[in-house]
Amino acid sequence: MVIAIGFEGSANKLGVGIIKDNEILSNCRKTYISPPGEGFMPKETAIHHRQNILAVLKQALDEANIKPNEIDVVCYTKGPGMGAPLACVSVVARTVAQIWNKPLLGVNHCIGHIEMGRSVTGANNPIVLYVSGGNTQIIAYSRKKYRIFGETIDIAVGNCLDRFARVLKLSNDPSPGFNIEQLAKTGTKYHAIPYCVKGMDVSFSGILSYMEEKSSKLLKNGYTVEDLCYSLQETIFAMLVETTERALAHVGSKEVLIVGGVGCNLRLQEMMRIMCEERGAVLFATDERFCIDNGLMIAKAGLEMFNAGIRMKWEDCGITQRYRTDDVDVTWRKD
Amino acid sequence: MSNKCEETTTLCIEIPFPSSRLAEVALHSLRVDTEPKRGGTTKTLEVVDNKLITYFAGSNLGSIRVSVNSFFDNIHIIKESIQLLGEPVSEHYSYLNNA
Repeated sequence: MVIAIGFEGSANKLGVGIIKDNEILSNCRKTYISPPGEGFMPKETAIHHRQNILAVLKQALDEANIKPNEIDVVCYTKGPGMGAPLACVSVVARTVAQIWNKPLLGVNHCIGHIEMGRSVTGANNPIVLYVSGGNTQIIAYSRKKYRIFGETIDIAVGNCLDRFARVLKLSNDPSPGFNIEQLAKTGTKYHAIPYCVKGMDVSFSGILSYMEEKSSKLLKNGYTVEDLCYSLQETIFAMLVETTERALAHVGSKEVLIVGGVGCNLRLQEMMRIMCEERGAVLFATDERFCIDNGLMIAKAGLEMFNAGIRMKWEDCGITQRYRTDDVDVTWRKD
Repeated sequence: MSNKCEETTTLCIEIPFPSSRLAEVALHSLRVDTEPKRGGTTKTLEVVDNKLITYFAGSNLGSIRVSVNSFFDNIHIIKESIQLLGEPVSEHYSYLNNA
């Protein structure tokens, strides 16, 4: 029996989660929500995390109903992410580890998403579509690495959605992507938007520029806000489904796992499910508790690392804003 | 007016902790994150008795200010963490020298 605690704070979500082998003991989260029309900036996000992290930690410990001495390993997000929020959360994780006298592990944020997704859904060896505000990657496991088969060549899909929400001045509560998803449900009139797949890679910045430039004109010419949300979602999700399908065919896998904040979009899941059914594959997806950044996923990945015997030098327990998924040796997987 | 001065500006900050053990905790929590290279500010930490002593040095005043501000932010959250969690459970931290 191993108990791990995970601290996450690479973007605007602050989370602390506690896991006991495969049993979830607690998963607490607090989100920094910026005003409509504005994104979250590193400085303000770090202030939010600093003001809330100890309350979230206390809540996670209370809900898990365990004493600190029962915890075996302290895990935190080492990267990738925004520097200032990462740094403030890592300082607390280092202090906690020392006071409780527990080993400390820095976890790759993307690996956290993948391992949490596999654990929650039971997907064994899936093609992973990792889609969030900061990352867009199509990943498959091979020879001790999660290898990136395709990715965005500019901004992440979630970033495209977030910034489009800012153009429309939509609320960022609970998240801009969620509000776009709700509006898109009643959109009917499809407007053709540039479609940008380049081999296995995707690009969203041109699509965003197009929407920024055309939105006000389209709104005056018979399109509603709902129509624009619908058109944007259909287009960019189709790009993701296309590249995922190609990875699926290439690897010969029969499983697709969607992780990351955009992964809780039900329309994306629906489109992906249709593709999977046509290919005789199975779709695995999770809900917002595990899709959206959370502390539990860091605890889960850290627990796998800990069980595989990975221990980190204290000097390596810093943060790094850039940390690629395929930099991590996945020694805990036996296949 | 440029805020670059020819010579090095230095700053020494002494912060007392309830014990030298807790000052050590703060030192180890802080020492792994290095200062941004571009700013040219260096930060050196040491513990003397129950005090964490930090030396800042650099030629760019703006960069020193940024370093010192973030240093105080970190000290503040470390002190708050200690308040919440209480005394360290062990006399020494056992995992500083992991292979």
